[in-house]
Amino acid sequence: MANSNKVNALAEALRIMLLEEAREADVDLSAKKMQLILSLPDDTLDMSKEKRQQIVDRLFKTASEPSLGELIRVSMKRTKFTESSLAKVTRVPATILRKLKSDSIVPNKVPVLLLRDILNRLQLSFDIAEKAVLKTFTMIQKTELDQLKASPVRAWARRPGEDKGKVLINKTEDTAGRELYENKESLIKYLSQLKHLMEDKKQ
Amino acid sequence: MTSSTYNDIVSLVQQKDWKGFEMLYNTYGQKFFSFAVKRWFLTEDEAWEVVYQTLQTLVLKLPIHKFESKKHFENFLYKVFINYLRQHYRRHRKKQSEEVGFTISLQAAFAEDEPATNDDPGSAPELDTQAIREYYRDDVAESPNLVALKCALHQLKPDERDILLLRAQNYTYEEIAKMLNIKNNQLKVKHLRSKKKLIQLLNKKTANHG
Repeated sequence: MANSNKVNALAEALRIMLLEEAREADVDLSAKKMQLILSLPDDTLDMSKEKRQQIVDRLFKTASEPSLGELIRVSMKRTKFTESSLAKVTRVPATILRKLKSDSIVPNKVPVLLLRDILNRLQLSFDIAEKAVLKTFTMIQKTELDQLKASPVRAWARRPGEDKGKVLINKTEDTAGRELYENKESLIKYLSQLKHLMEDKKQ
Repeated sequence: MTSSTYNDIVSLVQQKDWKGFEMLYNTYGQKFFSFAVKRWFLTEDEAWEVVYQTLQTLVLKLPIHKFESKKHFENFLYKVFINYLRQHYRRHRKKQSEEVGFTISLQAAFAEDEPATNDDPGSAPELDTQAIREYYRDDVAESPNLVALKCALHQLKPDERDILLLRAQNYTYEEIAKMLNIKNNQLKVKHLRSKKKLIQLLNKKTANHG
């Protein structure tokens, strides 16, 4: 990049504006912008073969590891539990069980004792469950985060001159405004409790 | 990309078929990578992260979300990509300002691939360069008069606006000419005139508010 230590203020402000606007673009505008990226000239730059392979490998690994929902569904078949029979023996409300099966609930929102009972009934070890819980947590977090970031009322919506030309950009933390159980720290604590409870039972 | 490619990607990724991940990278990842490096000046390592995080988010989302159409799928992918691009761009600029003695100048060349010229139409003094630097930081900051800039841009003709925005993203005149179907030899002059007009509008706005 030429003159990388000297940047034109107007061009930089336009770039910042483009980035901020793109986040709020509607479906049609996004499609138009996406087309611009996809129709890049023929001299498209590519990463090295190794780096490309690394991405494909990691994506494959991400998809291949079972989520908690997937793990529960497969284990229910294996142990011949139906939704109602598992709900009955574990005293977990059927609605919660359904949400767990479809990965539509943050795992640490379920009382830890109940999750322990489900895992025990399905004969699942902590190590297997831990990976699945982490995957489901990330799945839900990523989905919610995108919605969170795509929706805030941002500086663009304000009328010009409303605050003398200077506006406050809504710089929320990634986890701001979210429930306590939805942050990674509380998930780690939850998992440590779950591990403890599952090991206690073994002894 | 045809709809059948899109359907194939979704279906193969959901089946955890290796081919689907390769198609996903070849159709979107490679373009995102090139866009991040060539248009947004990220390093190849930073662009790799942006592409990986974007595609990983999609892979995690696919089992729990059904996209209505290719358009919705691409809208999601585009938004996720822009979010990561924005995060990395800010981090990249912040690092530059801390390590390289990076300065934001009213007089520097407008596009990264051209030197500053004598026929530069002047500067936009009301653009707050400090606020631009603050934008790179993660804490609360004020935007560099973006509302005024947006209003001034909307007073330009669509092709003037397009040239400025594309040039700011480091597209060459040749690429812009192709995209906008304009003769290349008129573009540089047109770009300078558009820039001058934008600056005048911005300055006028400041004078009116001042």
